[in-house]
Amino acid sequence: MAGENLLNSVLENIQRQGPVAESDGTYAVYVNDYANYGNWYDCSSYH
Amino acid sequence: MKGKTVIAKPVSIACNARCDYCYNLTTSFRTTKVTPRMSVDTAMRMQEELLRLGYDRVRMIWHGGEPLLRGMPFYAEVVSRQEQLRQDHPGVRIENGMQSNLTLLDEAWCVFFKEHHVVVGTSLDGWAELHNAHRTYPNGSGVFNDAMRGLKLADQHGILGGFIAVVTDQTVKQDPKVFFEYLVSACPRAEITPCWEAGDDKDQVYTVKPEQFLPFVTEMFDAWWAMNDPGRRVRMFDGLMQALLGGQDFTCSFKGNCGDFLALEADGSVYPCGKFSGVPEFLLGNVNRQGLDEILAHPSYAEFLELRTNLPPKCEACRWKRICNNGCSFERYLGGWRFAEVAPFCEVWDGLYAHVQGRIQVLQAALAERQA
Repeated sequence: MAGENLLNSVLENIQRQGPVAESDGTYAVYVNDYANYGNWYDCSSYH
Repeated sequence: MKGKTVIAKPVSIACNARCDYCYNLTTSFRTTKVTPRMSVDTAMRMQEELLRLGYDRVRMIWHGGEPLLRGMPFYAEVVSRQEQLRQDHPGVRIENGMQSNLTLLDEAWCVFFKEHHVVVGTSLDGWAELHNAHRTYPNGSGVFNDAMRGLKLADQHGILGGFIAVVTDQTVKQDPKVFFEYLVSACPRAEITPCWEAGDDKDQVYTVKPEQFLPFVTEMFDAWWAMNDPGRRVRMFDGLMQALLGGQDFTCSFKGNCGDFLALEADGSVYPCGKFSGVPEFLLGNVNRQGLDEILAHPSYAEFLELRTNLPPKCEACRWKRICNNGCSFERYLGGWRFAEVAPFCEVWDGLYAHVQGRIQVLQAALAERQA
């Protein structure tokens, strides 16, 4: 079904990330963040 | 964990290309004119200060301008001294990434980056005609062939994180499905961003208007949805779905705080974000002359962070508030500490979120029926 594999993949990723560990209130670190993107930096609006 | 990502500009805005839409060159309120070279001491001083303040995850994103222009000896000394820092501070994570046009990438760089776990991101606006429409060398010739050679080389060496495709006035004239398929065939981790200008420069020929971008990006999403391949991802869509399904978007524009980032200019100047680097009213201090605690205590920093938490009434009443968070502050900037009240692409995000949520709901209903 269209989108089904994508939906499952995103749900798995949310599960894998685990809870957000708040530190100083400005940085949210997941247990396993950037799972699908390695360490590719996460600002997307540059051009 | 307590972390910061530092957008470090080792050659400031110096670049071997002259893309006409470059945010470093086009905005009238950015005053960076000189292009000094960052010293290793300046680069290390920022990392040492972060560790001193208790940050235990430091990500250095070498940015530009074109960061490869700084040359390998600079980076070799940086990674060597980082190794010493790790030994002095057991348990800390110090990581490196780079955003480069990759036109100068060669085998030696790839081997170096692989050895030191440096993930590189790049820009690819589509096929040659689209890419070269705005991304050129100073003599006017397009950079596509060199950029594509670099992208393939990086991919072969396993150091390519992904790429950002800027959606311009030329892109929205194309078939969104064809454009999407091209992007994910070039590299399975793509990102798209609409070409936009802050301040009074927003009506440049290359910018894309919200009413053009919404139908284009919606059809792109549908192409991704129909392909249904988790091995080919568009980060905007991935993050959006994640947020709609109860997680959190992972791009800074939509996370709702700008505190993850700092920007380090070549001369040691510190700004809250790379997009505001070189904009004088956002200068927080200089890491060569001040402690980072003093720099972060600058009143402008708190004011800057509050831009993402003090939302205007329209956002407070919006059903997508938690997901959108009024987008990137730079896109709202008008100069002189004035900001447009809501994101210029507000109507795009509203339309796209509703579209994606609709797709998810229909799919979940069909899956529930199949299981019944």
